[in-house]
Amino acid sequence: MAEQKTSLDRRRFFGQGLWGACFAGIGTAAGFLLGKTKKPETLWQIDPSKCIACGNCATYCVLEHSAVKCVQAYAICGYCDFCPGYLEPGARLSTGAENELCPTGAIERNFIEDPYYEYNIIEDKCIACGKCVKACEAFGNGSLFLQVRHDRCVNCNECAIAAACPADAFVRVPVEHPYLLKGVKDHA
Amino acid sequence: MGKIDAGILIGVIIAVAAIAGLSAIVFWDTTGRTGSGLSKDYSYDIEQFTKVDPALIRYKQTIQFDTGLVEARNLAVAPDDRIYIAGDEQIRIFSSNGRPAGVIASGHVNCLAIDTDGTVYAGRVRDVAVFQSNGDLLAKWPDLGDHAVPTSIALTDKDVFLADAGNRVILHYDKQGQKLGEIGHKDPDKEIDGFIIPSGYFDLSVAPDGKLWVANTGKLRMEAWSVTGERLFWWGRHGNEIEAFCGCCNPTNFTILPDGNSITVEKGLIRIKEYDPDGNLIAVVAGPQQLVDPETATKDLSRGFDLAVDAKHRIIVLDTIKNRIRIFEKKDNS
Repeated sequence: MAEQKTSLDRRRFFGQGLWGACFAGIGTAAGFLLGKTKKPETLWQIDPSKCIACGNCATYCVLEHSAVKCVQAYAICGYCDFCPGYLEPGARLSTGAENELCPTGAIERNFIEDPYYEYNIIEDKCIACGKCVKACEAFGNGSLFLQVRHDRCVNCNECAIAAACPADAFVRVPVEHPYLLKGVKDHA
Repeated sequence: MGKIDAGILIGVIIAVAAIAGLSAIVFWDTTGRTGSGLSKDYSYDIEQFTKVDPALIRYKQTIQFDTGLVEARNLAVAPDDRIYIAGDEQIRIFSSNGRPAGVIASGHVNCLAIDTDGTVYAGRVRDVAVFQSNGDLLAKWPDLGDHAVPTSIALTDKDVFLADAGNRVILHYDKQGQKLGEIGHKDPDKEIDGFIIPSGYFDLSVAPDGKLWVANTGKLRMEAWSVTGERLFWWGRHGNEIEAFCGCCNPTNFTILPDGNSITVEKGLIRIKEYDPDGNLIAVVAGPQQLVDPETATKDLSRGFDLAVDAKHRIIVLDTIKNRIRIFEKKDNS
């Protein structure tokens, strides 16, 4: 009698254990999927007031093409004919390719009205080397600056560029305000 | 014989993999200390343009002193050679040798000028404030409007000229603040193409001969105007050479010497130069290597230094990076 009871308990133990394992597996899978679909609360971004345009953004991102790109703050751009972010420092005013500052030709120049020109970043060509950023900061209004583009960034927990940033310019920003943009107020 | 034991082979592979992994951990720079690894083509280098022929530098720095301001913005020199520096919502007054001589609670000042009787004219964010020599507020002129950005004031016996970078025009007032007119609007009939002001630098000064000199920075030139609004002539060209004006928009500031020569200062390549009234380079007061430390951040190079000349013909320079006054005098006193 006692032997039969022990046999039943073992069977029940294994049966219930199997169900328990199934439920635990389903719970784990659900938790994993929920974690994957839940949006992060913060994102990586570059604080333009700290960025020194060192070029590390171009090579330290885990992506093949860096998630960092140059952006243009049109409100503070001078729309200069002699744009220092567009032309080599020693160049005479000629917009031939040999005089372009950007090594990848990622800045396009469009005529607005004499003598004003608009400068746009061609994102697919920009590698975030920061060369134009430095030039615009030194001679111009600093309207060209680097930002993490969130349509590209995979938001790693430990951002490789943040670890390699010598200026501690990589900061976490709330997902509701994913960009740290320059404006007229910052420029004043 | 000739066969390798599988255990040894696996051991060797594991050892090689372990060494490779360890090397990657030890030598792979994740801190950025070794730099981006990009070639020279991707770096921005203007060092070659910072060199100036020493024979051209005919001034030397004789005095410097700290203003004590966190953000010194501009300066003016009074006829008695006292130095007025605006910044941090105040105007600090120093003797000609740097001794503190007073403070005016002025609010945020973009530009200032001192009259012969010590009256201070301060261009603020939206108005012009006039202070007595003791610092008491004498008058506030009417609101300049949303788009106005006052950047420079010049005085004559009876006129006040205010450069407005926001509207790219010069406002002409009498000493009581009555507006008399505007100078510099586009006028195709007179072939006046207007002022091109890409950044917040738009300086003006009245020369001893009565001409109104204006820095048309987007055109990289100095323009001489009559006080009635006729453009007389201009000089200046774009370039990094020492004779030219560099970057997109220079000179940021200038002052006129008693003999009519101009002393100009640029941003980007921060250099101070003396030109005759026809625009011929006479001398370099100080080049980038005298004025800026090599490790200065590029964003600080666009801070426009301010200039004035005192009765002893000394060039008073406001170093807006170090918030310091630096005084230059001719080496040979010629």
